[in-house]
Amino acid sequence: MKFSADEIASVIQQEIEQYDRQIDVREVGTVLEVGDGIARVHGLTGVAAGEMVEFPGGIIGLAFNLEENSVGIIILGDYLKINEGDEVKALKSLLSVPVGDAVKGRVIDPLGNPLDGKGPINASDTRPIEIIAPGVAQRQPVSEPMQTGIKAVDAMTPIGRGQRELIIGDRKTGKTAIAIDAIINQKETGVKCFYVAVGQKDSSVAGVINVLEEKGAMEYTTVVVAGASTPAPLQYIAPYAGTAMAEHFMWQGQHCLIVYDDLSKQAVAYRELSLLMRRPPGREAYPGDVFYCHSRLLERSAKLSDKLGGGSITSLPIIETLEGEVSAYIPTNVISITDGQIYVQPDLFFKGVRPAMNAGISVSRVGGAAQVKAMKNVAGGLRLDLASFRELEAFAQLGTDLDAATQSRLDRGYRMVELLKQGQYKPLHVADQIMVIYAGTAGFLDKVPVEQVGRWEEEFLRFIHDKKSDVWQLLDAEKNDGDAMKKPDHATTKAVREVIEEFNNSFNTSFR
Amino acid sequence: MDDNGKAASVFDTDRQHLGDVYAKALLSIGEKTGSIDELIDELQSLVSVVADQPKLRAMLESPRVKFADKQSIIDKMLQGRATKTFVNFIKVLTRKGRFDCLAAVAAAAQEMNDERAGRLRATMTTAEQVDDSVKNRVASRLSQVLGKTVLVRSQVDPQIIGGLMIRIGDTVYDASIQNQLKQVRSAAIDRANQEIRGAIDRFALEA
Repeated sequence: MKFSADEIASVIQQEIEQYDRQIDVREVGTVLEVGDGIARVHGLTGVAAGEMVEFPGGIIGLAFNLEENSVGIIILGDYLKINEGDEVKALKSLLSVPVGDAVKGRVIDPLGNPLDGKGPINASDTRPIEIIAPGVAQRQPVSEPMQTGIKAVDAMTPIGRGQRELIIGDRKTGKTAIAIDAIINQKETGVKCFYVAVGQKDSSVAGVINVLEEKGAMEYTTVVVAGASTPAPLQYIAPYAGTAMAEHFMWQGQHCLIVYDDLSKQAVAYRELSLLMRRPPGREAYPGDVFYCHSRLLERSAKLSDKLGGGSITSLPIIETLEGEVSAYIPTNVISITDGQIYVQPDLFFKGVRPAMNAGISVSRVGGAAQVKAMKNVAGGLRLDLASFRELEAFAQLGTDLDAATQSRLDRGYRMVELLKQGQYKPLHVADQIMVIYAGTAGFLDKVPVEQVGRWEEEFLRFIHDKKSDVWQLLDAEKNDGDAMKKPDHATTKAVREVIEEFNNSFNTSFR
Repeated sequence: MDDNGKAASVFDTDRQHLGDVYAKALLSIGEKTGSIDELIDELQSLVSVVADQPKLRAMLESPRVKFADKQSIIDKMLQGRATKTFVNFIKVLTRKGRFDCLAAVAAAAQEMNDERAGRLRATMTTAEQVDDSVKNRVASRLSQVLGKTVLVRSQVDPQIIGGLMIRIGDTVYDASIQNQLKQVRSAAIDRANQEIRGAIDRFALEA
């Protein structure tokens, strides 16, 4: 300890000497009732919606409901310490959170308080958690790819920087795993990641943080936690707080990836607050403005124009469905807000197809423009092919005799499904993905037995990296060339073909 | 029948809302007959009487007592002591089952009348009893600043240690010693915090 008590005493003394006596003018109200994270307050006649108020003991609240004779406040803190009759003070400011490099690599609550025991957050800047999203003139179309490192996603539903891609599916189908892989894959790309856990079990959040730390992803990731035991107000504001932190980087021209895990829990928290505030319930008892709650949040994901630095926020909201019911209220809302969805299904998951993405109904509405050119050339028709394969597969189960053409399409399909399987926490570089998918779509795997496809991929990638890194580098350099992997006489295409053929010869002999 | 005076102390937004409606009606009658101040005085004296007589209140509020009985009580109690308008008003209030809003009506009527007359009511809190000259000085100064007649009610609260605290509506002008000490305290803590943070590398170097 290098601070002496004298030093601090002198600082305090200075402060007292310089203290300028001023009359403190404040607007106050009185707590009428308090409970379940909300308070009703009489007075505060001039308070604005969304304004911060302070209860005794420094507990912060947000003015949420302005009524004729009272104000409904949501309490962001321990509401058990607030009593009837307490004085409430209007703070004339909006709720803000610390932003900047100080929050990078930290685990914090939605108000910016550290939860990881790594000491206080020394942020020099703060940002209000609710702002109006950038307008049309401030944006540009999504054009840069945001690689998730997952073959199925990058090939069939490519995500661009500034896009909002929903991950939707039942419980235990690997939704979070897709998002975590995407975060891990941002290593060394300079993309800042934010993982907002809303209403999750603290044990699952701890598991996620552990994985991120193990994979070295915590260095560029901020985890905002409002767990299942956190009061509803904090769960409600957590996504907005996380977005505010990401916006700081976006406006500096940097790129961010934010995962909201999950928005259905946030909607439930918002429903709880609204019902306690006696707002009229609508469909599924959600309040009328639950759509606005999500749309104003997701509109803040943007790709800024070059004039504003060209920064971006890509968001991966997660929605949990019940029994595959995508036509429930919240899922349809969020599907209509986002620029596409990745639909994961339990039956695929239990069949061992992981990620359990249903290619038929998963889409990316911006994707194509933001896909690496070579990948686009290789995987262009893949999604439709796979979808038609699923239909054919169902038909083939009837046991009818199939003609040779149909049988070969089926065989190709089985191999593509096998090829798109990918282990958890094993994101692949885009060049690896292109080569593997090219091998599949160009028919190089037709001779490989279905159950050997996994081994083929693994050994092929090892072969490329160990022995043919020149081809890998060529592809990596040429991947944005529109002709690469498209025209058979293109140098890159030729080189890749040759490598695959060469490997196939050795592979075939090795297991025969 | 026994819900002793508890409800009166608890603030009830519904009652306040009803009180506003009845007070508005009462004041508009008063305006026509030119007896607003008289009506408000009567209303306030009735409020204080009822507050001292929980049984009377319970009886007038109870839905189980017939209106005819209530009416005769009101007549016996008020006839000759209050204006005809006021007696009628209380009867209407009772018949509608809104006698429980009486205090809210009185408060709302006073507030509306103040607003109409350009008056403001301020509460001055001091640590010790002050004499009227101080109170008058505060009142005249406030009237000057706010451009309205200010009626000051004084109140003693030793907790504020010294100085003066004035509340007008929802706005508090706080020049109490208690508040100043609080401010010095938080300013000093902030400053010390800042100093420590500014020199945080001194800790880092040591580690």
